[in-house]
Amino acid sequence: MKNYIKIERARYNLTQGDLAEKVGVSRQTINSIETKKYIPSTVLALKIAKVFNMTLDALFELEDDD
Amino acid sequence: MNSNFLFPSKFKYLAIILFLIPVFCHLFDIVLLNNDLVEKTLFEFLVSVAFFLIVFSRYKDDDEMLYSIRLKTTVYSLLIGVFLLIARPLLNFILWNQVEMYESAGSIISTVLFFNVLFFLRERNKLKESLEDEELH
Repeated sequence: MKNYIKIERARYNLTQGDLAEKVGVSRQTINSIETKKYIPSTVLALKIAKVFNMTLDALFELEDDD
Repeated sequence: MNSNFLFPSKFKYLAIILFLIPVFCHLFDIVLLNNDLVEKTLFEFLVSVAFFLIVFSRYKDDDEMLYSIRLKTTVYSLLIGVFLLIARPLLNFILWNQVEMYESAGSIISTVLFFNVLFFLRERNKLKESLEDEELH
């Protein structure tokens, strides 16, 4: 699943650690989501989208192999 | 995610102490009990409890990804445990013509817990390496 977290993070000038703290997970989790190694739960995805004032479908996108 | 079934992270220190007692006794030939069989059983028990506490203790940075890794490693280690349960008597029979049907439940559970710890640490190391790689680039 493609996501635009890294781009949005740069736009909001947030580090992985900052975002992790805001949504209550570890930095490793944010890194794994950005590198597409881990697909977040709906709750976590919604929390991340809320930080960037975006909707889920604007932040996450299904790929052909999903 | 509900993780009330897990022990606090401090229990990991207790697990390390419990694990080190038999290791030190074995390395430095320290005799705790006069009966060898009772001592061996006690050491096996301590190691099993140590693995149990490590597997079922929280990490300080526990979150939903670590819960999913924990679940995945539990499934893998269970598969290995079941495989050993089935394959070991069969191999014993084929290789040495010995009929020994089942291992004791204790040794199977110890194996499952051991592989659980092993897989979990491997997954955590992968995550750390991934973070370090990104910091380098």
